[in-house]
Amino acid sequence: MNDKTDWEELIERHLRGELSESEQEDLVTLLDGHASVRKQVVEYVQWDTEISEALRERKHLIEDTGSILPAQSALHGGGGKATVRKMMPVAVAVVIAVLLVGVIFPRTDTMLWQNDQEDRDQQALSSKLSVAKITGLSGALMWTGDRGQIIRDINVGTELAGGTIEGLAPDAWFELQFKDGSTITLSGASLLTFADMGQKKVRLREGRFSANIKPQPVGKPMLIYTRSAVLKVLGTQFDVEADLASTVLTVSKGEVNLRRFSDDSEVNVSSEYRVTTDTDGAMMPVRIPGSVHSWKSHLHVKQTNYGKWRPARSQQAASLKAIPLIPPKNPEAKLYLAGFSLERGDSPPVILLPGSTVVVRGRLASQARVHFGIRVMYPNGEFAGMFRGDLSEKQPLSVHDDSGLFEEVYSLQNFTIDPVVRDQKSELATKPDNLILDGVWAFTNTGGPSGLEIIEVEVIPPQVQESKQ
Amino acid sequence: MRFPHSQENLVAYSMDGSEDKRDRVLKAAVEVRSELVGYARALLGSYAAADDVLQEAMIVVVKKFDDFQEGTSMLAWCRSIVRIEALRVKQRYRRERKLAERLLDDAIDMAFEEFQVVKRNDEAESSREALRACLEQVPDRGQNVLRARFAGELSYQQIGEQLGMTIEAVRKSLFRLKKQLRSCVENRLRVAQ
Repeated sequence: MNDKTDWEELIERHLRGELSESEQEDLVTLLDGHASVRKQVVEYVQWDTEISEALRERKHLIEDTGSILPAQSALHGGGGKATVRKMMPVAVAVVIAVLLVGVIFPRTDTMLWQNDQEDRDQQALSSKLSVAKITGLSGALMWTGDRGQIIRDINVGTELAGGTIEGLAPDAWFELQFKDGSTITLSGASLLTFADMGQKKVRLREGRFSANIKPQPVGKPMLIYTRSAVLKVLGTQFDVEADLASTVLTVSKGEVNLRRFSDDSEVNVSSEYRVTTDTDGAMMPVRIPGSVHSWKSHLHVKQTNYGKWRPARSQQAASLKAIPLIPPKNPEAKLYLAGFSLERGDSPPVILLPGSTVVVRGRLASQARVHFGIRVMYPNGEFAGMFRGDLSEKQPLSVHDDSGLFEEVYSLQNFTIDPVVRDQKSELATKPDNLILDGVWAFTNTGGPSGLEIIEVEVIPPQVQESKQ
Repeated sequence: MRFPHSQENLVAYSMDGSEDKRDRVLKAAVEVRSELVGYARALLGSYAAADDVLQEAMIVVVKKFDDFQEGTSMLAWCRSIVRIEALRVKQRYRRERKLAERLLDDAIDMAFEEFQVVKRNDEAESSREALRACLEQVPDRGQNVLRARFAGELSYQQIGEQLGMTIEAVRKSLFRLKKQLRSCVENRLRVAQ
């Protein structure tokens, strides 16, 4: 069978609920490896659904069909729901009518309360089936379990069964510790699915994580899936960054095997080497480039971390516009925030020298105080902490000009620990000095939109400042 | 009256001007309903289950309309709600979800995020009209196969038993009918232009 036959057959059978576990994996591999398959699958399902809707609209056909509908399972095949379905149009009309006069709200509140109760039940259940626990976190997180349950109230010490954990904002980070002591640290907006039933399996859908993996059982390496590759890990330290098209693997200790889906090519990546799947030919690990101390963001290339990216327009530079964020621990507040992680790829790590200056250039639609933070990591890729540049009294406040442009200057020596990680300050760095810059974000807290856009962030090391003076 | 065609009620309601944002959000959410059913169906398989999920999701849309950031994608926002509701349905009916199934959900989710597009209202209506007309042209036996599969959601084996066909004949028949319908719809739309 060729790929086309494969995916058509698989998606058709998936819609009938007939796929085995290995066939589900095959379909995942096809979807992950081929943009054309993803596109065609979406079109296929949409077309299939349009036919279903058209046929169901024709009342006489639905009634005729009722006579040949046997009882079926609830999820696959709704034949057993024939009567319910005949009543559905009436029920739906009633629901809509109720919605429209606003009477639904008391009922919805009850349902939401029930969901909260369900969440608590699920949390207890998750704890019993735990494969890992949260050992550090900040920011908004959501966990979706194997059984579809959802927990938003995640704290340090929360035990989690296999599931998907999602960092919802650029200032989010969390550390997950498996039963054998292996740890994974994710930062920024990211999505990670994990399981451990004798063999650790992790899928990084987007974002980046660093890992410190204890030696794994013989024949059962830890498997890490991204959309473009699978990594086999026996025990090592490394970090992975994945987006839609590529995966960047940086190994700081030990060795990791990486297999690229698009051509099934494999490569072993050793300590101090990095490889990216985003190449046309053979993958060649390259030595991690030496560090730099100066850095400027490149927002003319699309950023997808948090915020709305706006390409350059006539006489206006590209920017990342802040979008709303409701902090989970302070739901009354509505921040407008934009942030992004530093690209790895071929770029050398940016080490923040003591005495450096960070400059943020941007635009505001209305007068607002711009808050600014950075995320840093240790040279081995482990999360080191988050710091705020705007909290110290010594930080100057800049004012935007007539065209709304502003420039904020923050001295690294005045950066203070971000309040959101203050609880973990004993385990994290106390200063950002000599650590690697991993991400930046800026926000306003005026209760409404401020039109904040980040145009550029620059790190200027002390010797450059001196020469400029 | 079926849910997707209740738009006129929502539109009428939006005219009173009392809850502007809620009305706009609800109207926009209903306009992408067909796309959301497709997405829910890709996650759940069954149309009936997808339809149920859509109703739950619409209740959430009503409750949380104020969270929607105008100017951003309504389809993406609604998809995130549908995804959570679909997971709840899976939880209700299945005790265990294997890693492979979760990975598949993620892969499907990404595919829809990447490639799902919303048809303009007039395009969607023309397409529906064309499909209705093309369905009328399908011979009786073909119609029986189609409605057993799409309205009844029967398995190939069940369709074969009901209609006296082998499983392979059902498979081939459905493949051919879907292909014919697609080309019929495309022809009609081309002529209409």
